Amino acid sequence: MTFKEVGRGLILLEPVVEGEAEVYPLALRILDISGKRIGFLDNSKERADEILAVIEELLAERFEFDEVVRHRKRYYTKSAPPELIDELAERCQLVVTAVGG
Amino acid sequence: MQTVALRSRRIEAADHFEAVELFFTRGWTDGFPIVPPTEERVEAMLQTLDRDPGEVVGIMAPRFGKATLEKIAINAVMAGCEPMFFPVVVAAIEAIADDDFNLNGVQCTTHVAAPLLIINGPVRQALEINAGANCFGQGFRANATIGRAVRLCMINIGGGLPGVTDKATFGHPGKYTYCVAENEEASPWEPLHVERGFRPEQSTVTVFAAEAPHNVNDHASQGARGILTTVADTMATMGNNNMYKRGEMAVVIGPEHAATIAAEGWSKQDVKTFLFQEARRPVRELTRSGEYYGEVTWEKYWPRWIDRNDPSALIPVVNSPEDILVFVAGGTVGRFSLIIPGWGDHGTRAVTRVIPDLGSCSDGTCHA
Repeated sequence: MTFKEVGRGLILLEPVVEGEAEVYPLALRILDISGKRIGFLDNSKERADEILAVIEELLAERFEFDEVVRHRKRYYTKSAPPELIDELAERCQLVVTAVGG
Repeated sequence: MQTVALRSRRIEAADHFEAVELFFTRGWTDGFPIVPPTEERVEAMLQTLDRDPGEVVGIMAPRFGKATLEKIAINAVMAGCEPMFFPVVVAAIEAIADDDFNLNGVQCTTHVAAPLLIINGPVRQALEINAGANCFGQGFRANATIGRAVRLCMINIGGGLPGVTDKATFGHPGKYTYCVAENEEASPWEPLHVERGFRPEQSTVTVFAAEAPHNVNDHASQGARGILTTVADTMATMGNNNMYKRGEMAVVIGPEHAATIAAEGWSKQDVKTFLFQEARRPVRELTRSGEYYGEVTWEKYWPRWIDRNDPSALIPVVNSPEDILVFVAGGTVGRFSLIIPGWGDHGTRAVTRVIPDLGSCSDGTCHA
């Protein structure tokens, strides 16, 4: 089909797709993190592990945790696999994650 | 085919020129004027595939927009595609939306990477997709508009917006369009898609997250070893992502080079093995600067079998010969090849998809 004028007054179709975000309520804030099960999710960007290690150390000086779960994503450019998210949600009451880089 | 009502929101424009300006204003273009997507043009595009326009071909990051056939068709019209190009665009979107390609990363990275589309099979002749002289350049509607349609989908469906979600420091001109056919006729070896497990008579698109091509000029070498030594040296540079971040790299052998190499009995596997062996730099050079992070680079990226205590030990630019995608393209005059570095091992691999059969075509429209 070659280009041709279709006359005055065009009806056009929008090319964009809107994102469809599900809205979740925020989880209740934990006011006292002593005795809780805590997770650390390293996004695998350079030195994220060092930052999280320092944070874990500082928290451990102040609080005792029931359980500490540590995970590292394989790639920082991809979402964490659903099974990893599910495991953290199942096992931990709060999770500290390093993002960006 | 039964006409199915199109679901996209309608917009009005007084005329063609107002439509072009409107799309610029809304940020729906790649910076070039588009072809206004009227209902008639979009329906003509969809008629090449006898499928529901609401069918979701893939989810496109980072917006995670649903790439329906309808939305892809709208963007294909905007790009200037002929309707018969549509199945190629659809197959390419399927491929880049595959988890193995990691569209999220490719769209958002600070790196230059853009999807390179490599077309194989009979579709190349049917649609006149250039595999020969100037194949990475301008002049052929199929190359120009198929690649452009994919980028417009990445913008409008995937939400890849420069400076907002697309964080590329530079980008490269392939982000306008980056689509070539393999010159299977000039190649002495099996085509890329056959190597990747498809039948010669199948038409496929392989997508690869790629930097811009870098020329390899070697008119002097008269043998395989000489030519491929020049190619290998050009591959093994400190600045490309492969050297420090591994992953795949593409090498495009020009027809004159291919003929010389094959005349000495070298197979494609010989080429890949040689390049893997020769495209290397010593530890002492790669650890003095470059994208070197000390222990992290050794642990996460460089192969375990490199002796890190030997400054002369050679580190290959890729982890194995299989990480080098070799295909033949370009004109038959000029002793050149190309190297095309990839994005590195960031969870991206080249992905190949079959292009649906065009069936019969007449008057510029095709029906599957």
